[in-house]
Amino acid sequence: MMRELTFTAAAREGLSEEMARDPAVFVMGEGIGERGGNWATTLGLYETYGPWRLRDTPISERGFTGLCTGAALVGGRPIVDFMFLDFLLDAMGEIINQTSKMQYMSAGRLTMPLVFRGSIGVGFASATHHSGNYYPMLARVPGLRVVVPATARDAKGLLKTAIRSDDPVFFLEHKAVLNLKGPVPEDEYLVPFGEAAVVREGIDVSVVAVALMVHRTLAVAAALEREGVSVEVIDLRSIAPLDIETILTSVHKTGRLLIVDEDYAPFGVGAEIAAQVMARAFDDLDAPVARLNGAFAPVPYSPPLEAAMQPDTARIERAIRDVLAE
Amino acid sequence: MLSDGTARAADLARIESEITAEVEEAMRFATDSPWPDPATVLDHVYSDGVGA
Repeated sequence: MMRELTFTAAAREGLSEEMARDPAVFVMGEGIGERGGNWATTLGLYETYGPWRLRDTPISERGFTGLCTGAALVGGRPIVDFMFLDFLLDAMGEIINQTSKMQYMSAGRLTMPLVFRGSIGVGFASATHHSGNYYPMLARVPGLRVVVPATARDAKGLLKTAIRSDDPVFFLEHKAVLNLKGPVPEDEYLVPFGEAAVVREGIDVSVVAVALMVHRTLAVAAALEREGVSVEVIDLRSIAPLDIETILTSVHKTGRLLIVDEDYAPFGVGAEIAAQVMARAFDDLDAPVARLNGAFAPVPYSPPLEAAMQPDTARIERAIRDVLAE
Repeated sequence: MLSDGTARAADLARIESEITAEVEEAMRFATDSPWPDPATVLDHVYSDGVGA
């Protein structure tokens, strides 16, 4: 039987392997040195790799993002650990106007091997400054790559790919999956960008989900199977590049598509998928493409309000039944 | 810099003329080059490496 690790432990093992493999890899962020990271992203690595490669920073996101952008241009392979992804907002000018554009502006003479990581997601009364998702906003910036793993195996494999990529990559970690355990191979492996995973096969309806919503959708799919409803579940894994082919193949089989995403609906992941499916698989569809999203509001602190804004299993089940009833 | 002896006027003039020559050469190269092929508009948004 394959060993099981938490999402965080698997990602940390991937980070440690890459730091051992390549001395150019280093981490900057608040509390990622001796403290081992607010989310234990670097726990235990300080003893092995020391303060130069696990570099604690002051609270100065724009400053250390700019520093790492420069380091990436001259041979470093930095990882910026934002702790909460919300803090990226203080570095947005640097990321969009410099980090994402340098390869293009230099006609490919420069590369930008830089990883940004941070926790995302609703659900822990972390309040509005610590609960954002932001991936649609990032995925529409040319030059950036965005991955959102849902399992321990994918966390390790996608983080290793992100570290080896010469492009700036956002590696996003939903708070509710950090402690979920899953099988992780002992042997080295990478998970490529731009490949969604069909995590449950079905024939009646396709459901594309992201991060925590993958686990909730799988629970609903298992329950619906008992009454003969066959749900295919696709874990998107990678937002940019988007694996539209896997979704099209699934829709060709089922004729119905629901996108479950706790981030906002307007101009989001579901809107993009729906547009591409309409353009390329209109004749495959037996029902309009449907979306289930979080409420369009800043994330509230109050736990009952917070729970009301995030898709739960009851709402996912209702949305699947609605698509099937069309 | 001139008053405290860090630099001499002749050095500054030489640096200035070197920079002017470099900029003029870059200008000449740019204006003498053909416009880029519109087909290359998507080149180098991403690297050609891992994950490309």
